[in-house]
Amino acid sequence: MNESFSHTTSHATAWPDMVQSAAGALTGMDGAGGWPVQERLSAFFFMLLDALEGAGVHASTFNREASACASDFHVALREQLVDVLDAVDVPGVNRLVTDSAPSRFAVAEILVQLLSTSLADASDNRERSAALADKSLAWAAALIANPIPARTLDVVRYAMEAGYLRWKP
Amino acid sequence: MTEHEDGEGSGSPPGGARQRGMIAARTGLKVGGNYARYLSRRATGADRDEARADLHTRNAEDLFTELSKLRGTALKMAQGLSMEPGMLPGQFADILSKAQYEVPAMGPALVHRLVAQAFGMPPQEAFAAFDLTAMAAASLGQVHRARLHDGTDVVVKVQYPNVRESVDSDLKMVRALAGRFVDLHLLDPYVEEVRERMMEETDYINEGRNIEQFAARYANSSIVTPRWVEARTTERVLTMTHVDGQHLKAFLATEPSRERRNHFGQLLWDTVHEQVASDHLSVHADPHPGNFLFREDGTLGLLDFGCIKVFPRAFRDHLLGLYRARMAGDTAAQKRAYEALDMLPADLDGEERTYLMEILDAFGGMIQSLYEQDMYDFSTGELLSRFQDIMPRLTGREAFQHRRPVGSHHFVFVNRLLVGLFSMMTQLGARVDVRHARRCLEQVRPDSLMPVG
Repeated sequence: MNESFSHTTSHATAWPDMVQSAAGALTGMDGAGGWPVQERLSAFFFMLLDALEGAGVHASTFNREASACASDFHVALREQLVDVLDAVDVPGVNRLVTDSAPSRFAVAEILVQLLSTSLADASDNRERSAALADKSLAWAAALIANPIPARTLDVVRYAMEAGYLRWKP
Repeated sequence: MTEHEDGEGSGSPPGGARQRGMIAARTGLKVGGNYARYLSRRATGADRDEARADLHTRNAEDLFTELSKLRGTALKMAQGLSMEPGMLPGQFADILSKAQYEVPAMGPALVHRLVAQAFGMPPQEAFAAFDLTAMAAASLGQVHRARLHDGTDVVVKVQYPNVRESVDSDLKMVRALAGRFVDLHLLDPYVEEVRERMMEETDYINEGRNIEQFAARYANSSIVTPRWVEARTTERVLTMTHVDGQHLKAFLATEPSRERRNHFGQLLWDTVHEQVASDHLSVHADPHPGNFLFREDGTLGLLDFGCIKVFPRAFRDHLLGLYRARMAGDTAAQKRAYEALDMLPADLDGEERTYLMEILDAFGGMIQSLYEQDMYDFSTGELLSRFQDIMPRLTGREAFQHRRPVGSHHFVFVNRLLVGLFSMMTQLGARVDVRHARRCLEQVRPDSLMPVG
């Protein structure tokens, strides 16, 4: 275990650095700018997990120091998610929601819980939690990229413009 | 290695037992809900047969939708069950028999992680080049193009995380669900058969050994197999040399000549018969179109050696004894073979026995028709037509009422082999010379009259 993560006072900048380095690695991957949100989110998560594992972070340390919503880690995650969720398959209407603070908080919380679960996973190569993370992130990405809000808005707008729907204040 | 289009959603199978349990529970609830609707329709005077048929269809659709989320194990189980007489009502078989492995893809980050864990170094170091985007998906994993440091083009099959650990829990759930339709104690040998093959199929080192065994069998022949790259293989990541060629769909899209379709059909037909009759006693038991490559030079590529069925000699010999008895019209020998292959249980009463004999006779007649003339033309559609006539009797209401599977559990993969072969041959529309196949089947003589067990 990396000693810098075993004390609460010695790594104030390490947690946010780890988030930034994962986000930087994602940006540096070939073609990542054209990936759908599921792949961007999934890549970001597994890079974060790799970074945490590489630093020898234990689940207990992570839970104690990084999982709280006021922690530097959580705050850094929420900041980086603006870029991570900026994917080609996220409709413009959805971006109004996904860029909002409550949405990023929710996604960050999902990532934190999955990281915590993965770090505590004692299965071979953490395969049990890897499958869970993959599935959960696919679910989250499906919500983020859901075309229904944009399609709904489009049909309502058209119906109003064409006179099929009338606005009655 | 099989090619499939991506299904809905994405990612790996549900990981935790609790999550997987919830899927099974939901299926159970849906099936229960469907029964409630059925009872309600009956109470309101709806036609009983029609209502029951609707019920089976709805149950089958729900079952398949939920089982498909569990990926490999459940689907393979469902496909196996759908082919057993008396296992599932006809509507189930219809829907489940359409089940291709609708597997969503893993993202590049997860693939990177799994490969790095397997070799202790990132894919870019383990290989001279590695494409993180999958070239094909399979029921238990996905396949990536790569190049070794010595320049050899390879494909790397990466297994979805936690699949191997999920096999037992998946089978328990499928067994519980199937228990609504079949007597469970009769089902267990079939479940165990699927479990054994699944455990083998999820061990990529075992598959690597199978590749080498078949490569040796087909050296200097018209069948081309990949070669195993042992140094880049673990239980969950398999590396093998790349084999070029077109899959069936792409091959047929080129509108090949009749002569070329006959050529490949003949190769496929003879290869399967040679495997069945071989002293190796092992057959490639996953004759999916994605596992064959139609090559420019006229050779046939054979892929995916995860599911290899090794028959006990007694079973194989009795099976071929049954073939010979049919061809000779020897009903006493046929009956002995049925009994040796557990196809006619001793405790069946007269009516059930007669019913089962009729089915076996119809099925046997269909198989026999393939070998009666020197040439057989699959393009006529006659085989498909006969098969469709028989299927309702195999899986229809009467078979369902018996609620018992018949036949040795080894038939799970014999049926899969037969259906896969017939399907490929029919799609090819090939006209084949069956004389070599007949010789193969006739040369084997039983050296034992022991029951198959």
